[in-house]
Amino acid sequence: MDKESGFKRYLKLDLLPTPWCPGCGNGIVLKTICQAFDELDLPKDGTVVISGIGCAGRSAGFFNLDSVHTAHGRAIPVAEGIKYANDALHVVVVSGDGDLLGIGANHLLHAIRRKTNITVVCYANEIYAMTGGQASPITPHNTKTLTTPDGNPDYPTDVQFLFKHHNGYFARTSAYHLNHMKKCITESLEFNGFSFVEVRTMCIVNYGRRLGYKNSNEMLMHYKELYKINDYAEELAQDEIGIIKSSS
Amino acid sequence: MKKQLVQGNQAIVMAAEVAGLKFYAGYPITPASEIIHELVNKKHIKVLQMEDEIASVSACIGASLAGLKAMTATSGPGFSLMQESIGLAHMMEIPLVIVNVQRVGPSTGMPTLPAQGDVIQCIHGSHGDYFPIVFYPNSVSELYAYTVMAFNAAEESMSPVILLSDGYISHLYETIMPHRDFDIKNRSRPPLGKGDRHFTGLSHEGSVPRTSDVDNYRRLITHLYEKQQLVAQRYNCYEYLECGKDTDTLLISYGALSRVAYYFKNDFALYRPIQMFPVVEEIKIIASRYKRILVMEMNTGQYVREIECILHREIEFIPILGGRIDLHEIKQKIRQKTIERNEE
Amino acid sequence: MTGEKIQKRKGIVHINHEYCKRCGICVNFCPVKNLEIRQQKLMELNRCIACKMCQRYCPDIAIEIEEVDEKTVGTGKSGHRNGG
Ligand code: SF4
Ligand code: SF4
Ligand code: SF4
Repeated sequence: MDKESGFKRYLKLDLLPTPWCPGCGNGIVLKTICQAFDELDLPKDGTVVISGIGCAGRSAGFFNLDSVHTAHGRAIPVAEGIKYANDALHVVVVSGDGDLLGIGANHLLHAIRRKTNITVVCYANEIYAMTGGQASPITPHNTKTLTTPDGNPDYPTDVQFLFKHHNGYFARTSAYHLNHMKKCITESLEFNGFSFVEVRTMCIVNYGRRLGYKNSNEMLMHYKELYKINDYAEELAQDEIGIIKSSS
Repeated sequence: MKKQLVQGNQAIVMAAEVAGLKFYAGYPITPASEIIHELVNKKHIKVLQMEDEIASVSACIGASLAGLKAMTATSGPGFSLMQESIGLAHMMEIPLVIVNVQRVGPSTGMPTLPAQGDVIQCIHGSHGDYFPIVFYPNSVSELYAYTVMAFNAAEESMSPVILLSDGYISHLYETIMPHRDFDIKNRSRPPLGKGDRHFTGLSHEGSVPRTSDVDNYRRLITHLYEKQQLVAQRYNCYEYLECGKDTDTLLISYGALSRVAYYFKNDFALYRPIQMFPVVEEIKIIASRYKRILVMEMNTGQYVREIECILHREIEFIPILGGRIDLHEIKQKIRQKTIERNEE
Repeated sequence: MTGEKIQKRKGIVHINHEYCKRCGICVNFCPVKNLEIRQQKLMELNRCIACKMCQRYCPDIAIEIEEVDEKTVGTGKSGHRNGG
């Protein structure tokens, strides 16, 4: 297989197409994760993928690897159990922001503290997509969703500071910034400790449309305009993507 | 081999070691905490103190998938938190052992006192239909033996097996013979990281999720049901003591409360389920010999419904609400019940 | 139609119509407007310069570019194939 399609060996191509909507950004993230696997030539025997529940959670089943689709919010503790049981495995969690930062946030907090050597890729589309479009823990302030018809009264959470405090690896990237995304995921896989990559990605059907985007292209263009890359910064601003990596 | 004086919770740990326990994840809770206290000193067992019981059972699921024999222990409040993932473990066919040392509920209840209020929760605590194997011993040496059985049944059924205990027997000290004379069952499924399998809580056919294939779902649930029944039939554990003299009464009890029932062995025949679920069918034959069936348990009537269901006849029930096991109180209640019956 | 007016083709576009969800992301990224969705189907117009932007951004692994030596390809012929 040539360089560009080498990533396909990590996918169950016979199960495609995915159940995701046309233009859903999840496919871009899934593909980029596999490209990062390919870049590092991760062994197929010895790499496992764990997911929670939600649109993003469905991605685990498409990896051509042993994979586990856990209960809502529980991907991280299941992954930790796997890692502590067999340290030789590469353990990768893939799930959404509602799953990881909402119902599963307690586990995230403690996995950061325990420095469990696993990688989490968060498909951060700022919404509970599978259930129709309810506000998530990172839905921006004032944004209208099904559960915040007058605009979100809350402010989005930002977990980067937890990583800083516990010498973890945190990166924020976007579905538009493909090279950056791949770099972040590759680095996070190589990181010795707990690593987390938050990928801003588009849910067009249950989020973007309601905000006035005509299609997912417009959302990608929005990421292009909004996000400035600021790697190895002390701290990322809301309109910055980049890597926060402690010296450990 | 020497006899040893051990506490109930300690016996669980000793037996788990014999059964091949390699991974434990748990959260502190009275009256189960002695289990993790014992385990942290075992160098060859990975022990994690997790942030809650949800994480504990989840980590056990992960470790079990990765090939290790795993266990967690808790009490009612923690058992409630675990329920969703117990359903997941049934759906994904994950062998593990969950110990529930019962205390008085609901809610925080009376944490240090024993009860038997979580019996039905064992089989209906999680949503949907699933068919757990549940053992409930009544002594320290039985805790030792049935911990091993629980591990074996988990491997044979590829499902989470529940070992019920209560604050009374788990804190009891008795001498046991810690023998290793067991036939230990081991896993045939290769550990995670050796293929392209997909384990999911969605209805599935092999590795492929089938989210709207009703016929496949029905096949899956039937398979899970039949598998559990088949394995449970190999155990079918119960204790039946015929009465020395002629009696028309069978007294049914289990766990801590059944220790008091022995006091009545000269008045009634005694039956004690050890395998609580699936319900042991032999009860039908045994019960047919008695005109009167008397059930007592430390709740407002949980297992008695299972007995009614299987026997299809009138059952007398004596609730001994949680917290205290008092022989005089029990004697009085049985006498009262008998008087009421004779008046009818 | 003369050869000079048509941009020399450098890539053959393989579209897997079973995977393609017609989201239009590739259409937007194509710098030479080589891609179009017509009658619910993604089509190419034989002027691919093999920049591979479509392939990079397609969320569904439905489009792939085969780089070709421009001399070997006739300008007018469709290089379109079903990559499935
Ligand atoms: S609902 Fe949103 S996140 Fe879910 S598949 Fe559709 S576009 Fe993607
Ligand atoms: S980006 Fe992919 S799925 Fe979308 S229209 Fe183009 S080829 Fe089809
Ligand atoms: S490779 Fe570039 S020029 Fe060719 S179709 Fe794709 S986007 Fe257009």
